Amino acid sequence: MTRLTDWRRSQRWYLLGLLVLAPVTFWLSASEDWTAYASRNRINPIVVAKGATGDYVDATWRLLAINADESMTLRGGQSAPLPQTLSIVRVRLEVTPRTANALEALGRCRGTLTDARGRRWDANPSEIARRAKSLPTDCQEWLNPKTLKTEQAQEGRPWVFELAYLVPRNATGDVIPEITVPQALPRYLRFER
Amino acid sequence: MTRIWRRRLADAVLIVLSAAALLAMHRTTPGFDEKTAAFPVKGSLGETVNGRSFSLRLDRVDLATSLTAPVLLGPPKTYTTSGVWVIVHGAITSNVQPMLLRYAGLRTRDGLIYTAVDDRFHSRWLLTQDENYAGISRRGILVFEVPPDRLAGAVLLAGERSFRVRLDSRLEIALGLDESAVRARMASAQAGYRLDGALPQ
Repeated sequence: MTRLTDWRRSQRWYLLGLLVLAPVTFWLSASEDWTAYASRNRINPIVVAKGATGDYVDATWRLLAINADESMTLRGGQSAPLPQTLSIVRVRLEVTPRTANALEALGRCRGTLTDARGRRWDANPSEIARRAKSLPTDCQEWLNPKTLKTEQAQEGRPWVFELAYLVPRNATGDVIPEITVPQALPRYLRFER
Repeated sequence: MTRIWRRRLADAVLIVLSAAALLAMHRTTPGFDEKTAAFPVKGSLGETVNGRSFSLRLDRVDLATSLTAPVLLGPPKTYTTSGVWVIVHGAITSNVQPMLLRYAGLRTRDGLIYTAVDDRFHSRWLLTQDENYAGISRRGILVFEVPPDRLAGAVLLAGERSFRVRLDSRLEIALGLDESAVRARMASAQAGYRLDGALPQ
């Protein structure tokens, strides 16, 4: 017993060094990979409660409405029915950028819908590009089809826009809207319904 | 035998056993290609085959001696072949997120693989073009050019990534063509098969 205690005492600095160096070595070898992974993947959601606003990339976000349509109104005004298994989910959002950097970041924002099974749909797929649009379809700018002028979000002013998703009709009830800005990864915005 | 000789003998046995164990491990440990190989998911015509990221169901196989296909600009063009055109009809569904079917090939009985032809003609019905969405089934075709004598026993391979699918599922769907079926199909193979006319509704 005395021999073990003596050994511990004589080796204490080495043991202490090991306790410090082992985790540091592990972190040094793993941190680069972790940082690279985190800069490409959505890991930390910022959850926005129903009716509340959320703060993300120096901008204030709010979910205004989410609706599902079983037909599509085309640009000419005529209605095109969708196949019975499909719906278009329209997500109306408001974003108020507070800084010039936020405005720039919004140019690369991406909207997605996810469901409880982890399935994901991207906003504005080409299959529904011919639909009639009354609101901007992008987080930052759009070409207004009525005036044929490009409109842009402005610092300090709310920008209302609408993202459309083509989803299976049986999934429309539990889909959750999400917003991702690549510069802010691994954080992303998730709106509770 | 003295104690020291017994100990030396035990050491020698231990060394030989360790060397044998190392050799066995060396022979049996899978290489990089095996460790990262695709996970084959097998199925047959008419059956929905589920991979990790997508599902595929093949419904029908048509053979043609020549194809008429739309091109991006200009009138439709006719494509002849010294082999046979194999047109596989099916439906693909993404399981998780938007995805492209980047790889489709036809593996013959002797192990040769013929990659799907999708760069010569323009057709939005080709399953290797356009995105597929989660839970939304999309019908379309895959087109292959194959020597007719290699068609019996052919298996369709499909994967989300490129030719060398790694650490991901690869669907392997038997087309159900034996020698007699190929002979019968070859006798009735169409000339001027219209790709845009044979499209799914």
